[in-house]
Amino acid sequence: VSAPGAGASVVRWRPRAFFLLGLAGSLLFLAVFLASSVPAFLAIPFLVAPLIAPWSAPTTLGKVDLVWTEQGNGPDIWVGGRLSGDLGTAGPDVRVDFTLPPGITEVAPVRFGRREPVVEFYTRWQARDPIVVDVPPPKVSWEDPYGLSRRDLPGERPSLRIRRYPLGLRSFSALRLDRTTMLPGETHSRRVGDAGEFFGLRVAPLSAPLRRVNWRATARAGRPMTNEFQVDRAGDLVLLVDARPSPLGPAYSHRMLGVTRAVALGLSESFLRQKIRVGYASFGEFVEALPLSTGRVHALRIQEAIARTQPAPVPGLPERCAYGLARYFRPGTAVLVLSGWVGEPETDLTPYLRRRGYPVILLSPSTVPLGRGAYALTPEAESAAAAVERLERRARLAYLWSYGPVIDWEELWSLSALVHYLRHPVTRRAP
Amino acid sequence: VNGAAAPAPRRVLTWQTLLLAGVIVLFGTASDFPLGVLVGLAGFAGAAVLRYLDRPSATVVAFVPLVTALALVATLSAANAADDLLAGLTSLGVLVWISDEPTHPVGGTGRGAKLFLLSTLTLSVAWVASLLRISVVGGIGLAVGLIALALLLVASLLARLPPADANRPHQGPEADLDSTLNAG
Repeated sequence: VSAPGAGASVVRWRPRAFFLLGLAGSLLFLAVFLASSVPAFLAIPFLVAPLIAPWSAPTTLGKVDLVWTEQGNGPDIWVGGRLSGDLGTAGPDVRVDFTLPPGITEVAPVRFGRREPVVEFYTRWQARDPIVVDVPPPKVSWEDPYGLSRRDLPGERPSLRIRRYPLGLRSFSALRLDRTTMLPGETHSRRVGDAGEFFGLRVAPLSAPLRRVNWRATARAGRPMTNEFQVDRAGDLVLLVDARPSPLGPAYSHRMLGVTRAVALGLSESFLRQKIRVGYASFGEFVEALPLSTGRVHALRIQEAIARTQPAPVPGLPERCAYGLARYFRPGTAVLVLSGWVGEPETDLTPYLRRRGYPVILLSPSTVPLGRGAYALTPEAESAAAAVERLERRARLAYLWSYGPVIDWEELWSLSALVHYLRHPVTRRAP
Repeated sequence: VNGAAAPAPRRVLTWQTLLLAGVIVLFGTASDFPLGVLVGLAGFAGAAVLRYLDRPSATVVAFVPLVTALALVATLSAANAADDLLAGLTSLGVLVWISDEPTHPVGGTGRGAKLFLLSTLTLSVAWVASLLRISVVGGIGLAVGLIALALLLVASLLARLPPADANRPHQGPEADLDSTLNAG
């Protein structure tokens, strides 16, 4: 994702310049009024400095391009970037101003380093919840050493996509999805890999691992031969993100959708790595879906579809979701619903999807961590409120267990509940 | 959220601070205002306290009490050539002091030399003109000529200056980011 570079450089005076100009004007007025030259002489540097400050920039200053990236695990986001271009000697006075999206906060201030002919910067942010978000290109400007003016510098600067998933997604490589798939969904692909049913023999490439060498065939052929296998696909899965607006307000809707989008992206990448066919759908007012597929290109398609998913202005009827899903996915395909819906229980998606023949797993992010600290409560009152909310959620989710497994997801930075379910699936709630 | 280059270390006694204190004392002493030194130094003390509070917003407005006090002293001073010159030098001292803010990168005074020189030149032209009592038209002509000369001088000087470098080895996550950027 990239954004076009800014246009020509724009000069902006800082409030300090206006203050000095105002002060100088007042002093000149006093000088005339009192017929004294001392205030006028005091005013001269204050008058001259703001006027010439923007033009005291190095003459070589021009287009400045940015390359930046991020690293880190969980909530930690380390951001590093490199400014290059017509910087000249202006490196130390170059500023980078970020506009952080909601849910990301600055932990450490920006630090700069200079390696001719580029300027590098580092900063550290923190994500409040799992998040997938594009940070807009920062504004790069030159500020004079007196803090009187800034000159915005043009250049090519891409936006930065930040993806932070729950840490539990790392455990998914050891999981197979076959237990979540109905039997009619079991299929075999024709693709060749290193696991599954035997497909044939081929001359071993130099990079072939020893465990894949067929020693009997090697002995017969007189040259190294390896086994090849049909990749067996464990099943199909549709990730359905509930993008309906929450009755708790737009802020809650955005935050909840941010969490579900991040998890949907992380889950899709994890399952696609296992060669599972993954589909993606979002339901706000209408259904928007990507059909089942596999591969890296499909992972990118899902990534873009998730980035496009925004809270709908009006909630759609849940029947519409079930009917809409049927246009893209065969009944019988497992659907993992990511929904923090807290509206009327009658409008939960799960029963409608189940009635249309989709086996449903509901991954329901809890509202408890999202509401933590939202009100000025004492720690005791906060824990009591959380306990009441948990009880209310439990009663609400108990009703949905009759339509499919429900995973109450409270620790948003861990997917251990889902991992545990996929390893030890249960189809009905313990009495 | 924003960032500039590494801020200056929070040293209270820099040469810029001492210079400013010196010119304030001179200006206050030379002025006819009996409490000139006290008022000037009070403004200076207020500015210094604000600057070294650990709040960037306070640092940015630290010079306000200082220039207010100086304006008061200048208003109550009698007009003579020495006071005129000292008032101008005090303003220049304030500019030098501003260029050394802890929230700004180190070495601001050196990088802001061009602006400082032009301000100094304008002040000196005005002061010399006031001494010579030359005509208005002649004064403007002299000022324009001197400013143009100064601009050429400053431009040629800055073009010859080597760029300030602050190479710094990176460690930890920054080194990882480095390698990622280099790979890209």
